[in-house]
Amino acid sequence: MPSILRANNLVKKFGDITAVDDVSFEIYEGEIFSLLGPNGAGKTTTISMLSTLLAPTSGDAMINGFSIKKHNMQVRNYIGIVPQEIALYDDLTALENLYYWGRLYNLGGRALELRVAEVLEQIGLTDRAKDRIKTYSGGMKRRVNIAAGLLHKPRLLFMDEPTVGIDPQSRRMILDKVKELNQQGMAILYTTHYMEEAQELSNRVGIIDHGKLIAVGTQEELTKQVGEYDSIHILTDPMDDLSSIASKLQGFDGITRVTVDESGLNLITSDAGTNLAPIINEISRAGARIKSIEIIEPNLETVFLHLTGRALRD
Amino acid sequence: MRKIWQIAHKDLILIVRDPMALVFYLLAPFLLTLGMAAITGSFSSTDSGLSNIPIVITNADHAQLGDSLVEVFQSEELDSLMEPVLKEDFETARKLVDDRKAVAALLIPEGFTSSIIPQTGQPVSADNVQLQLYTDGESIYSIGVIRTIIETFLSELESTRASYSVSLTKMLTEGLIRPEELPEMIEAFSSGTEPTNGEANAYKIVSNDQTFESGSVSYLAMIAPGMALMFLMYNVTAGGVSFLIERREYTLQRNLVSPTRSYQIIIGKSLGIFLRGFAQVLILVLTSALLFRLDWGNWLGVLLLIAFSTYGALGWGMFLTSFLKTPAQVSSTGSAISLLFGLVGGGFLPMSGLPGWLKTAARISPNAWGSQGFTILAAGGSLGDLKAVLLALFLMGTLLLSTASIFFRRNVIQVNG
Repeated sequence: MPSILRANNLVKKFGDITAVDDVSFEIYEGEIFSLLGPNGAGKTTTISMLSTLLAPTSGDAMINGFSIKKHNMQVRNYIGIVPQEIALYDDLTALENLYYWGRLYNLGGRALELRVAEVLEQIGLTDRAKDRIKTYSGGMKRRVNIAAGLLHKPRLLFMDEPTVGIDPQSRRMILDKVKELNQQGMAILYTTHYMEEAQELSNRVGIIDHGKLIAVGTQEELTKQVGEYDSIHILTDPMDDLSSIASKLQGFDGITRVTVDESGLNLITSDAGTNLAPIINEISRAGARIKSIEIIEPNLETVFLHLTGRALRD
Repeated sequence: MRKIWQIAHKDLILIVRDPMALVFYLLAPFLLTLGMAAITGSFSSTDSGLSNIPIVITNADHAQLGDSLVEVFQSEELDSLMEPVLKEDFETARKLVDDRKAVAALLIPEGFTSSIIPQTGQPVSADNVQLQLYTDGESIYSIGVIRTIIETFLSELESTRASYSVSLTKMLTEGLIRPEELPEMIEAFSSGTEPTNGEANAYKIVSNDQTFESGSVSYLAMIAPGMALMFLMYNVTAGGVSFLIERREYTLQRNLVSPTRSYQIIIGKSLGIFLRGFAQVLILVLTSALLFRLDWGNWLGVLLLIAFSTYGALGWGMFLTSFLKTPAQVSSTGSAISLLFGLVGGGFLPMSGLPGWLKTAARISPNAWGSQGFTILAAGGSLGDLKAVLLALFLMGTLLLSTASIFFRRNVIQVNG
């Protein structure tokens, strides 16, 4: 399948901080590619470079054959952006906002009229089109935010955490919309820190942490990296010596990795069923009180834990 | 061009949709001007707060009316207001004005009296003898006071002559003079009242080779131009803040990732700010002209001056915005600079009251140039007289906007391309 985007060794530094560190990946025509990583992993900075908003410190990316560094105007014609923030004018109506953004994408006249009506229909806000954005709920604003990125029918859509901070109903609508757009042939780069969204939507996933792309592949390919290992998350009461418990557990047979986070312990084990009892005994012996135990089958969360030693929510 | 207009139009709509901003931009300067006028006195009061206005008088007439006019300036009633000095030579008097030791030099020319009151046994003057007023071109309010005194004097003179006309008629009807004597008396009378050179007004006051129109000292006139320019500065710095607010709310980034050049966005937003500033000053000028009959002078000149002043102020507003980081920084710095420019640029006090060095320093502000321009126009100046002012404002705006655009791309937009 031909690629619509090819990122080559992208680096972005802000002073001494490297926000994106040598990131390379491809997005193929018509696929949904998710960048999965915790907050601060470098997802938004990557999208900012790919959308020509930020100049890379080094590296380049080609979108539909055009360099983001040398041909930014051509690139902008091919891409659509749905930023993480509600980038709309609060004192304009949805209709006025869409006309404004449409005109910036060189649409006009009857074509713009029809397209605005079409996207308003798609996001279910035709009835509220003449109301100012500031009167909308968070979910409605998110939907207009998406619509503004779709007006010019981009071949590649960048969606940067589009479901942050919204109600479940609007979230469901947005996820369904992403699928619908993809079915219409649009390639989508979707960033999220919600494993469930990446799992539900993506053809392929890139896992990013501390600015580095640490794994890329289909969900099957990625979970194979974890092998048959299970992940166990044990929620405990806060106590000082969880680290010493983790050190002891690290020596147990069948346990390949133990990490500590704010809420308790994360373990990777070859067989959760067999190894769970000695783990509980050890924790109880150390005086810690277990509040809950969660056994997780191999999934993207497990992969992230396996690769970074931390949970995605960290 | 279409995108530039779209961006400007959007910014204008956003202002209209924000009632508080609209009040600030359009009504506040007008209301504040009225308020200040009300505080300082009635709109046409002679209690100007001005005192000891230095004027040099050259009385080459040495006759009845010339002497009377000098006496008016030396009268007890004007003792605290005027500080007249008599000089025999008008060139010396003009030099005192040039050296800023007086705000005006008044020449009462030889034959002034005889051009109005024919002297027995002397032929009627064929020339329209005019009073000449040479001014420093800046002290418009002091000059306004002087003009008012002169025009009051001339008006009194006119009343006296009107009485003379009535008396002639009465004398004729009562048989005190013979009808055959009337033409001679009328000729004597009319030779003083009708200009012999065809001009409409026999009592024009010539000032620095320009002719003043009649008018009176108005506090609104004193305050309005400087106040308008000061609020213009507030307006454009507040407009510049909108760049940073858009960046904070990510709409600027969304503009930047559309197929729109960064220069189109900068010009589009600048155009919106410019139009807002232009409208703000124009509304103040129009309302003061309509409601209070303020004479701002040549209207084409006024429009051009508003446009160029707005351009100069826009340069400052964008320059500040381009290297300051946050809306709060721009607001506080912009307010301080607007106030400072307002103070030195005639927003509160006439610029003529400033020390020389401060007058020179004030030239970095659009307010000072704008005030000078309004002064020229109010004094009856033509478009040609505005050339230097307009050029200065244009250069100021262009230099600052060019510098700002470099800083903008580096500090505000930070965009790739």
